[in-house]
Amino acid sequence: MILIKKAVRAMLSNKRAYIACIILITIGILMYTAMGIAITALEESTETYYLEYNLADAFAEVTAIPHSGIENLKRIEGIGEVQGRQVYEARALIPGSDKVITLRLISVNINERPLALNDYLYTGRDFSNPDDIMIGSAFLEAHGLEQEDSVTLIIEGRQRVFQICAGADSPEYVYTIKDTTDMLPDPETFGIAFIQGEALNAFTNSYGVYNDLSFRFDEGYSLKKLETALEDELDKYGLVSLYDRDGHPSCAMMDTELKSVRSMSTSVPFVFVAMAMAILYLMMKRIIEQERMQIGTLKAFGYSNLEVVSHYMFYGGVTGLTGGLIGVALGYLTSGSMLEIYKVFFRLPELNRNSAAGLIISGIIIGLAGGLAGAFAGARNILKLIPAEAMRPIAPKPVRKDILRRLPFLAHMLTMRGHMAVRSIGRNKFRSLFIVMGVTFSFGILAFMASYGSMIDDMMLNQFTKVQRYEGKISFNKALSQNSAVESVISLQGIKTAEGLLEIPAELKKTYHKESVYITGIQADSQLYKIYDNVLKRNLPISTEGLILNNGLAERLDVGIGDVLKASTNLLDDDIELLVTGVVNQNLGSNAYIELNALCRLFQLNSTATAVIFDTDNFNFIKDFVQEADNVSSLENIEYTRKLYEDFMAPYYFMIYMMEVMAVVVAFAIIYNTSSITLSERKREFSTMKVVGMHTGEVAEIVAFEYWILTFVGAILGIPFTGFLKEALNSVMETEMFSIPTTTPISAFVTAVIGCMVSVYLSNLSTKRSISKFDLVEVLKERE
Amino acid sequence: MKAILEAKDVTKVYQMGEVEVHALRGVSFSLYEGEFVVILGPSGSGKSTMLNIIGGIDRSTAGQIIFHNQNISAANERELTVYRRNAVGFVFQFYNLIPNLTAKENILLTAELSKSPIDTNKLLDEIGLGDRGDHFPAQLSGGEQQRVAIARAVAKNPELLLCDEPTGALDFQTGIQVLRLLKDFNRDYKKTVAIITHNAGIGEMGDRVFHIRDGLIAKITTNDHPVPPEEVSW
Repeated sequence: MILIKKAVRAMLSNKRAYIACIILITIGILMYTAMGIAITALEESTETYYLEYNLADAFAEVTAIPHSGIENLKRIEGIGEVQGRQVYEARALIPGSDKVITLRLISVNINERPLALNDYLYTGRDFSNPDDIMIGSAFLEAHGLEQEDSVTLIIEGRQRVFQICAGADSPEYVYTIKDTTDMLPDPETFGIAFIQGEALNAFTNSYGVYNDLSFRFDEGYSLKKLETALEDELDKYGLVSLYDRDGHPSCAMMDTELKSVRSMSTSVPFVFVAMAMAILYLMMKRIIEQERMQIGTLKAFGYSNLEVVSHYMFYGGVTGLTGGLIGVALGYLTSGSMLEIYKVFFRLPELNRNSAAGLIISGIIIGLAGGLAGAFAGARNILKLIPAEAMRPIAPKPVRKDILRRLPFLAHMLTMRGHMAVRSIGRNKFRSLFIVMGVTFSFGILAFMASYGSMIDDMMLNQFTKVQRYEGKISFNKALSQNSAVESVISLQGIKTAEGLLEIPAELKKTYHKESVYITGIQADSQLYKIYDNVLKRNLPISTEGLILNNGLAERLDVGIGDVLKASTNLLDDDIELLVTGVVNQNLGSNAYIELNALCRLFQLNSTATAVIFDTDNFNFIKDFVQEADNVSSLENIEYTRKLYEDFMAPYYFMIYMMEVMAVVVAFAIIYNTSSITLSERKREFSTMKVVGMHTGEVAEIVAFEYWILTFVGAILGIPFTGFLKEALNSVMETEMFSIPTTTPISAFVTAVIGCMVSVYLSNLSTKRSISKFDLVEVLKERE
Repeated sequence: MKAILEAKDVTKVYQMGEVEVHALRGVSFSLYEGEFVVILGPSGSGKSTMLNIIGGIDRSTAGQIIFHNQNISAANERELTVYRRNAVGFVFQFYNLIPNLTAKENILLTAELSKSPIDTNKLLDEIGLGDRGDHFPAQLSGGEQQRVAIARAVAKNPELLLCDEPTGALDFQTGIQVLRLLKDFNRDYKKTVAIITHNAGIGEMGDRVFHIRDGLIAKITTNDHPVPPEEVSW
């Protein structure tokens, strides 16, 4: 009990240092708990949803397959269940909306609920008449639609009015995107809807056939095993695509989010805990040296090694436990906010923090263990200390030939105070190394923070201002003749310029790497679409010889310039070979570019386009045209898309901002702590200097000089460390949607240098104040 | 009198770089129950080393220390801790009080270790600091600090009280007060007390006096009539 009192008093007398450690542990545990709880909730809810609502194992898109064809598929060994559906996209006319709105209509057989595969859940009434429709709840919310409202749909010029009977959601569309080119869900322009099979037959004029298949495999079977058999069977029905959950846009997006947040939650927090451990280690080492005599006395009176070590570990334990408790409390609150963000993007029936207990307990344990381990590392020498030896002063370290003796010119350049600073660095190698590491770490995060603006530019703004220079894009349902597509758009009122674009969905393959992308064919003389390189800061010429891939895609495919890829599409029966002619540094999307006509030739197409990009004075005219055109699938307003990305990235930037604020705290905590250690170790020495007539400023200069030298070294090392930090963050955060730019502008380094200098200056100021308060008589009469 | 501790041919060699320092060169003696022993010798004679080895805070290079039939020299770390905890109390020249514990808490620090501790408040009264128990060491004079240190050492009621230059940092008058406390403990609680000092005058109050020189016991003298502390001078 008495030793606890001693520890509490000691901690209170040095509370700023312990608070700095507590803050670091709190941040680490906050991130660990918040991300862990949120991602576990997302994972569990998704798994439950997939299971309870029978999400299929694989999916296929075909031109048309009759019921008998489905029966044949069921006979393939390993196929447990096959479900045929009709899936069509319809234009929705929503009064008051100025956007082109698409609803994906999915047929359901109401006599077979729950459905064997891809069941849905609904809020409202069940189907009761042929005009009933259940629409995705996100879509209803986005458009302010309610049950019993009517909605007008158009398919290939046929218009029908449906009555909304319920809001519905499906495990197949947790992340509701049209395809992977969309990347972000936008319920204002795209949603899903369920209608009765017979009603959809009548609407689309297609009877007795399905164009969409779902599969459940028997245990031990996967798409990999059954792919050939299924392709052989489905080819005769016009196989368009066949993919498992990994290839399903919604599942893949969910998987990417789960993986990237999970890897962040198990890496980044530990950096903060490790920093706190390092500071605790240093503090304990200092305390043990200072309290050698007390340790000897305690041992002499019969306190065991365990009791004495436990006493010093108590300091770390209290620090870790406090940081852990505050961290889990704040983490739990933050996880709520994270789940609210997830609810916007992922449509799940439930998203609850049911499994938070484990993470809360482990968060507290990590905080406590970190604190105890840091303190133990610093205090473990107690175990070796013989009481009689502990009560004698430490023998001075043997003096070796120091740097000043090896470099006499340096000794000549420096004053006596400079000599002391340089020697102190050499004689306290570990402490010096720790300061250098601390400055390097802080410098890296500060530079990272300062390059935040250029990162946004590289990631998003460049994509929408320097790559996609157009203001709008009209995509068509089917490929059209290039000339007629462009002419139909350029003839519209308000169009300033227009160009054709060909986008072909393809699977690019190299050895065992596979990526599904859209190959973009750009006009050779395009002014509206440029292959802009974020690192080189210039446009690359459009190639007619082969593909230019963006760096993220090239890395995932493990290819470089000169490599040959295989591409499979539904346009040709066989794969074709494509040469990689360039790699462009772009951070948004998975991009593969080639000249438009070269792309047409490769896939044996006449001069065709699937989209037209344009600049316009007035989007309203375009909207009117699009509303009336049957063959238009979407209209993109680049300004609107940019806004969507900004909203999507906001939480990530918030997290990065949090880390930036912490970088400043870390920088100051490390420098302040180590300088207070220096101060207490050299109190007697500095007091003697004051006694012999030196001013406070002159004494403080010795410490300051030492810190400036170490800060200089730390800042130099901080430059490569910044790149490493960005690479590391990119490796955990990179998805098919975006990557973190890894280049840093000079201005960011300048800001980081200033940030570190301010931290050192403030810390030196505090040191100077402490030196001025020394009670010379007290200090000098203390026993060594 | 019954011997509670026996030292048999104890040596201690320190390795200082390439040089061997022979602090003890084979000393043998006994300490008896309830006696007051003064260990006299100049600086560097080996008296502190001897005290440290007796007290189990340092190990001998050779020889044996037998305490109530237990060979302390062969004890492992845990056994040594138990020995120090139950049998030995230390008083140091520079007090070695814990600076952020009050006088009373410093005494409780050792009392908590004992199965039969002496009442802390009683001890505070006995050392004349009954009303200053809540003062921190920095608020006490050197003599007061040493009195607290003595109270701390005796609080756990040890069989053996070992004092290393207990008056070394004190003025004469205060030194006499400290010696009085040690003698009182020896008399009132019938415990063995061993004091190290280089002041020959203090030897007059011991039942026996060990004269140490160059790591050896040069002679052991017995005082048939030890003088009270107040009559000692140096």
